[in-house]
Parts: sequence; structure tokens; C-alpha cells
Amino acid sequence: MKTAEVRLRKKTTFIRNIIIQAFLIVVAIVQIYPLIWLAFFSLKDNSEIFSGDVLGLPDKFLWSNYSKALSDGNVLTYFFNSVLVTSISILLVLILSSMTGYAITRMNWKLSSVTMTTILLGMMVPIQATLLPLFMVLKNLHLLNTYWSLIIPYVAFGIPMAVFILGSFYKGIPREMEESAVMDGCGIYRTFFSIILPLVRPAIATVAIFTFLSCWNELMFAVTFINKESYQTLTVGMMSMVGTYITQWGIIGAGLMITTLPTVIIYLVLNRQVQQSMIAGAVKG
Amino acid sequence: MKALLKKSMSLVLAVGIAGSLAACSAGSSEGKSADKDASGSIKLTLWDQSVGNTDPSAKLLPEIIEKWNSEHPDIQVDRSGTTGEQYKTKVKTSLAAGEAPDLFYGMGGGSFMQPYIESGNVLEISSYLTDDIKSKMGPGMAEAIEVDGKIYTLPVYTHIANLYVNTDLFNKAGAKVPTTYTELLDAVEKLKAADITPALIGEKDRWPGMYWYDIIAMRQAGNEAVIEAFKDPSKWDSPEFVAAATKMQELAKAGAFNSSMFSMSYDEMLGAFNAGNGAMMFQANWVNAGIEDPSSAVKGNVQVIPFPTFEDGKGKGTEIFGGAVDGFYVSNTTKHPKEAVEFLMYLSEQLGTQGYLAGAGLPSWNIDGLDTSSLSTLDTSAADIMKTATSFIAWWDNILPADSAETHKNLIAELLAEEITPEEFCKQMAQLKPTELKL
Amino acid sequence: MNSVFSNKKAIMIFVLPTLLLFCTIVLIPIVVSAYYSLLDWNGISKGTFIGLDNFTQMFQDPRALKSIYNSLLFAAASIFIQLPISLLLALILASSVKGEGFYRTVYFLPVLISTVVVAQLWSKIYNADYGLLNTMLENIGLSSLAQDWLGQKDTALAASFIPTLWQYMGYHMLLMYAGAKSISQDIFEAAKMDGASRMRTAFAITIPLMKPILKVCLVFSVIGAFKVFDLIYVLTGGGPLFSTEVPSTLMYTTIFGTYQYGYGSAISVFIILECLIVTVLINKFFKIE
Repeated sequence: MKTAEVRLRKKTTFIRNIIIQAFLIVVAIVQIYPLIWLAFFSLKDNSEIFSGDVLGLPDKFLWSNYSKALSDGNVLTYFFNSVLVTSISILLVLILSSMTGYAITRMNWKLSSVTMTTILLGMMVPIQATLLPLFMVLKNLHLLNTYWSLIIPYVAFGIPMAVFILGSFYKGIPREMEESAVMDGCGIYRTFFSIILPLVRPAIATVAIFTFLSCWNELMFAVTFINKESYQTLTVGMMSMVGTYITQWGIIGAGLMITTLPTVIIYLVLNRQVQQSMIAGAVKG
Repeated sequence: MKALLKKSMSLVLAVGIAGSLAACSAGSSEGKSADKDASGSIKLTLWDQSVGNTDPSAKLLPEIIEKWNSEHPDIQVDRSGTTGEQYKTKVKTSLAAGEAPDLFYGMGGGSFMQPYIESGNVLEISSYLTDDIKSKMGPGMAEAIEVDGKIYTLPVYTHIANLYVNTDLFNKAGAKVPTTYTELLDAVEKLKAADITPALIGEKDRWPGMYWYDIIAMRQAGNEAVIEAFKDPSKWDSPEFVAAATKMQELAKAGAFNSSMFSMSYDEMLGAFNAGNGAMMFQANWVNAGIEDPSSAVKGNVQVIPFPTFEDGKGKGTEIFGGAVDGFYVSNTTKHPKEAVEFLMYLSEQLGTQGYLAGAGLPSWNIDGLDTSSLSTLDTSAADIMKTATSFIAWWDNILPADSAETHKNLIAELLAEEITPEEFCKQMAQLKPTELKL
Repeated sequence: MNSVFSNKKAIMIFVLPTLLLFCTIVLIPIVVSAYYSLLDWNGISKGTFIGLDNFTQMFQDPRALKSIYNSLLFAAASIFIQLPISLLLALILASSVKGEGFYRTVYFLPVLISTVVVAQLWSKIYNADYGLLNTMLENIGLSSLAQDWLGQKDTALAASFIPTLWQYMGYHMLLMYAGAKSISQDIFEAAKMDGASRMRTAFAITIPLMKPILKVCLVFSVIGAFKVFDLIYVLTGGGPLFSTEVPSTLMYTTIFGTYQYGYGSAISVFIILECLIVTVLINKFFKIE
């Protein structure tokens, strides 16, 4: 009798698992199929995209779409610029926001919550609105047409989210950790750099990936603040490519893939760290 | 420490705000990017929107500049090109911040450039222009570029809008290339019956639809009446313009336009026409090069004709939609006005003549002695149409003040979508502002 | 001990560089925009001070009101469609199903893709003549449903929201998943002992304990909805006939299309205020709960 009940329960669990798995797979297809489709059409020519089998694999893999997209203009220069601007921005965001987030959440001073609110305000600003004022600020600082004209705004607009994520993480660290460090004679700097920072490594990975995303993909600042082609970034180059090959979807698709792949690869590398950090840091948000 | 923090904060704020506000006032004379470099040569910056291989100027510009640079070691030009909408945003932001390049491309004499001309952001070049350079221009050009007796730009190309007809598709449908409105409706019917999209409009960008209404209005009322209405908008609400709007809607109802027009951009419209997916397109001759490109499926099967005239209309086939309106401007903040204008003259003439040969546009410059044998039939037919011209009206969105131009385009979209009646359309057109230009 | 954590010099070193940067690059432009919003200014010549007239104009302009209405709809769609799906997925994944890690990674992938790319991709999906969506419908015999998704007033709004919902679903899912995972396992054990069903456990225990993270998701998605720009700008440009207009696209056309810099700035100030108010309201709401 007992075994029958167990068997029944096993059976219902089994069916339920199938239903759940089916649901998860459908969602997974919805999430991933457009990207696979993009990869497919980046390897097709127009006749195949417009007439033949829109959904499936290309008949013949047209790698020349990629060579065309790559040979167009200065993709390599753009790529280098994007890498340079993005990596310096990430580094600066990490340094600044990890210190600021720490001072705000773990140290005692009167204006800490005001400072936090002010910084979080930055998340609400539509950046298109700040274009002209920001242009003037950069002009007065004589930074236009340099890498800094992108790095500085990227860092400044990246800080709110970074402080938010790191701050929520710091909050979760038990006070005793720092106290024992201080007992042992560590100063505030040592405590921060050698005790606290290593603890929030996953959060740092999260901040890095979010900063990466916003810098790598940013378009409006990149168009407006840079005139010299030698400083332009990949999104700018890609936009003019979309304009150029408006009807040749295959080449556009290849260009889109070229800009997207680095992101996906970096994500897959940092994947574990990011997910861990979100799991560890989330609730305290 | 709090005091210190407060102090430095307020200092930063004060400096920043003062700086930014000061910079807003137009024409700040602050340091320009153009400067002498170590070798003592002058550097000029040039911005344009010619990017990508669909724009023939994009190939010519670097060549012309390279030639100039090698011939003028003391005046070096540095060019940077940006695509369409982003170019406008960039130029507007930079001009507003007083950080304009020495030379830049400006769309139209009207709504895009007029505010800058009025505010003095653009250098007046009349005094630099010799009779010699004026004599090199095509007939009527020297007068056409004057604004209140002053000159700010030189013509490059002339662009005129005409009806592009895919003769292959017309033959397939057994339709006749239209010369009158009745024939146009007839052709639409035959093409539809043959399951061919009669005409393509990239209405997502709204100006391609505007071209249709504008030419219909010009054929219905005649150029003179249109010019009157630009000056006195109340005249937009008159029987002729109602009749024009009615015809526009009649065409839409007859299924003349692609059903996907509201999601189709201008670029996609070109692509579709060049792929043979529509039988007609009303556009300016800047599309010629694309149609004649080896990648185009309709190369050789396209004919360009004046827009049909109307049996009940006052407009004639020789009244032309278009003109020489786009050109390069010299910024008022340039440190080297003389050299910049010198380059402007060289650039405009070179681009105007070479661009004509490359199929970028019709010439605004004297072309005697040029070998035009390599020109495509599209270019020569367009040039022939232009020769018949009795009057020109430029793109309406350049003639109307910027916000009225926006309203005009939106109203036409509503007309196409049958959201408003022709009468309502004209009532609202009568609310537009009069043009700021001398017509 | 306390002296270490209130070391003024250290606080300065930690905070001042960030604040300096933040003020020059973010705060000043906001303040300047707020000042512009009080001007009648074309962005070129000298502006005239007109007080709050731009804001009065905004609340009388049917196009602006429509755009605000659209962004509210968008926020509602995020809250009532996107977040529940994300929550459901998060709860399922957190209950240790097979392939947990795989699904987590796949669901998050769209978040990584630049808006420009997403917009291009979806404009190809929606393309009336050759798009993925219409082709699929035709392949399964539903060609009567195929239509010009972005070109019609009644479908364009929904069609331009879907890509954003699609893209950020995985983002909220991961946040919520993280929230659910960090709940102590003991609580679930206890619930199981009491014989509570999965459903009951979810509603009575998991979701209430996830409140802090749900609040964060709510704030993020509403702010995101109010600020949405790139995607709609590329997909429809606010058209057809303003049916997909949102405040930020309207702001962009007023500033850069028709030279109404003052009016455009007023719209941007409105967006900032709108975000602020909603954030405060959400925080209040969660406190009362």
C-alpha cells in the first residue's frame, strides 16, 4: 500500500517535471532563437533571406559577409578603440565605486545617505537630455575628440549602478570581519583593500559586466563627442555600416554578430562569478 | 573636513555651471580645433554626412580632399563623415556649443540652416566671391543662393524629384507609363491586377510621403499658388489644395502604395525599388546611382519621367520640385575664413562637376567641356527634364520653418492613413507658420 | 574602533573623486537642463525666460500626453507581464530543476546585446515582407495573421514593447532567482514538513521573503520603461502617427528636430521627476506592506 502511494507520487512528479521542462525549453527557444536566426542570416545572401527558407540553416555558408563587414572602413581600429575605452572605463568605475560604496555603507559620516541618494539619482537621467550640457562641460575641460570624452561620461554614468550593486553587497558583510581586522591593527585602508575587497569579488564581476555592456553598446555620446575617425568606436562604425548595406541583410547580420560576439564570450567566461554575486548580493538590495 | 568638502563641491558646481551657461550664448569665440600645427600649415576641419557606398559623394569627397591637400601643403583639410540623423544631432549640438568645425555640410537653405544664418553662426561669404567664380556657376545659380542679398553657401548639385518607373513591371502588367492623373490611376489599377505593388513610399521617415503630396499639390495648384501659400498660410485652405489632398487620398485608397509603407524607411524603399519590388517611386535624382549600381536588379529597366500632369490642374510638367539647396557652410568661428572660403569654392565646384559625372546629382556648375558620355540614361534624362524647367520649388520641409515642416509631414502621414479628411488636412495646413525665406 | 570607521581623511579619499566626477558630468547637466526648461530657446540664439510655460504647454499638448500615456502603458506591461513571467521562471529554476544553470545562462543572454543590435534584429523579425514573424505564420498556415506589425497604429505599440520585455526578462529573472536562492533552506524544509504544497510555499513563504529584490526589480523596470529610447527610436521613430511615441523620443525630436530646446528640456526634467516620484512611491508602498 505504501509503495503504491510512493509510485503514484513518483508518477505525478515525473509528469510535472516534464511539463516544467517543456515550459522551460519553450522559453529558452524564445530567448535564444532570434539570436540563432541572426547568426544564420549573417551567413546567407539576399536571395536566400528574402525568398528561400527564412528560418533554417544557410544553404551555403557565406563567410564573405564577414570579410565584407570586416574590410569595410576601419573595423579593427574601431574594435581597438572600443576595447580601450571600455576597459579603462570598467577599471575606473570599479576603483571609484568600490571605494565610494564602501564609505557610504560602512563608514560613519553625516552626509552618507544624502550622498547615496544623489548618486542613485544618476540612474534616472535620460542621457539624451544631457547631451548639450555635457558637450559644453567637456568642451570647457578641453576633452572633446579624445578617448577621455567617452571614458569620463561612461564612468560617471556607470557609477550609480555600480555603487548600488556594491553597496548592497557591502551591507551584507558582518561587522565582525572589519572589527577583528582593526583589532589586529589594520588601518582603514588595509581593512578595505585586503579584507573587504576580496570578499566582494563576485559583485565586482557583476559591476564589470554591466559597465562593459553600457560602454560597449553606447552610441549617442560616441557619435557626438568624437569626430576623428581614428578615435571612433565600434557602434558608430556599425551604424554607418547598417546605413550602407541597408538591403544586404547578410552583411548587416555579420556586422551585428561581430559587435555582439565579444560580449557573449566575456559573459560566458564571467558567467559563474556574475550569477554567484547576484545570488549572494541580491536580497540585501 | 565637511566644510572643505562643501566648499570644493560648490566650487565645482559653480565653475561647471558658469562654464556651461556661458558657452550657450552663440558664437563664443573660444579656441577652435583649426589651428596651425608644428609645420606652420593651417588645418581646416570638414564635416559631412556622406558615408557608405550608396552615396556617390562618399567616394568622391576623400579623393577631392586628398588632391587639395597635396596641392596645398599649407592648408590641410581633415574630414569626418557621419550618417544621416546622427549627423544632424552632432552638428546641432556642436553649433549650439560654439564648437563647430570650420566647414560643414548643411541641408537645404531653409529650416535646417536658417536659424544658424540668423544667429550669425555661419560666415557670410559674399565679399570673398569674385565674378570669376560666379561665372563658373550654372545659369541662375548665383542669384538662387542669395539670402537677402547675402551669400552663405555655394551650390554643389541640383536635385530634382521625378517619377521613376520600372518599365519591366509596367510591361508585365500591360500598363502605360502615365502622363496624366487618369493614366496614373489606370496604371495603378493594372499593376494591382497583376499583383505588382504600384508605388513605394518609405513613410516611416515621413518625407518620402511628403514628396508625393507636395508634387500633387504643385500639379494641382501650380507653383505660383504654392509660393503664395508659403507666404500666407491661410491660402493652404483653398479648393485647389483640398483637391490635391483628395487625390492623394484617392491614390492611397486605390492601393497605389505599398501596404507596408508605414514601417518602411527611405533606405528600405530604395532597396525595394532596386530589387524590383515596386513599379514606381517618386524621388530625387540622388537615387540614380543606386539604380544604376551593378548590384541593382532593375538596372536598365528604369525610366525617369516628369510627374504626370492633371487634367483639372494648373501646374505644368515643367514646374519642377527641387533645386540646388544643399551645400557646405563656413562656420563663423573659424580662424581662417579666407582659406576656408577658398577651399569651399574648390570643394563645391569639384564635387558639383565630378559628382555629376558620378551620378550624384545634376550640376550647378558650368559643365562645358566635360566628357558626359559616361553618364547613365537616368542622369541625362533628368538633366533633360531640368532643361525644360520654368520654375523650381525646393523641398517643402526646407522652406517651412522647422516646426511647421514637422507638422506638414505628420499631417500627410495622417492623410495617407485616412485619419483625416482632405478638408481637415487643409484647415490644419492653414495653421502653419509662414516661411522665413525669400521665395 | 569607531574612529577608524569615521576617519574623515579616508572618507574624503574614498568619496571625493567620485563626487567630483559625478557632479561635473551628471549633476551639472541635470541642473543646466532644468534651467533650459524654463527658457523659450531654440538652442542657438539667446533664450528668453518664460518660467513654467514649457510645462504648461506640455500638459496641453496632445502629443506629449499621448507619449506619457504610452510610457505608462509600457510600465504597466513591464510590471504585469514581464515581471510575473520572470518571477515564475525564477521560482521554477530556484527549485532545483534539471538544467538549472543552462536555462539561467540562456535566459540572460539577450540582456548582453546592444540595443542597436536588438532593434535591428527585431526590425528584421517584424519586416512585413520578409520578416521572421510573418514567414513563420505563413509556414504554419496562419498567413491571414501576417501583417505589417510596426506599420499599423494598433499593433505598433505592442510590437515595439515586446523586444524590451524579451530582452530584460532574463535580467529580472536572474535577480529574482538570486533572491529566491538566498532564502534559507531550513524554512522550506519546515514548510515541507507541514505538508504545504509547492504553490502554497511559493505564495506564503518564498515571495514574501523576496520582497526586497522584488522592490528592486519593480523600480528598475519602471524607470527603464519611463526612459526607453533607443529601441523605439530605431524601430518606429515614434510613429506611425505618434502611436509609439514616448516622452524620450518626443524630447529628442523637439530638441534636435524642431529646435525647441527649452520645451525638450522640460520633457527631460519631467522624465527625471516621474522616475523619482515612482521610486519614492514604490518604496513607500513596500514599507506599508
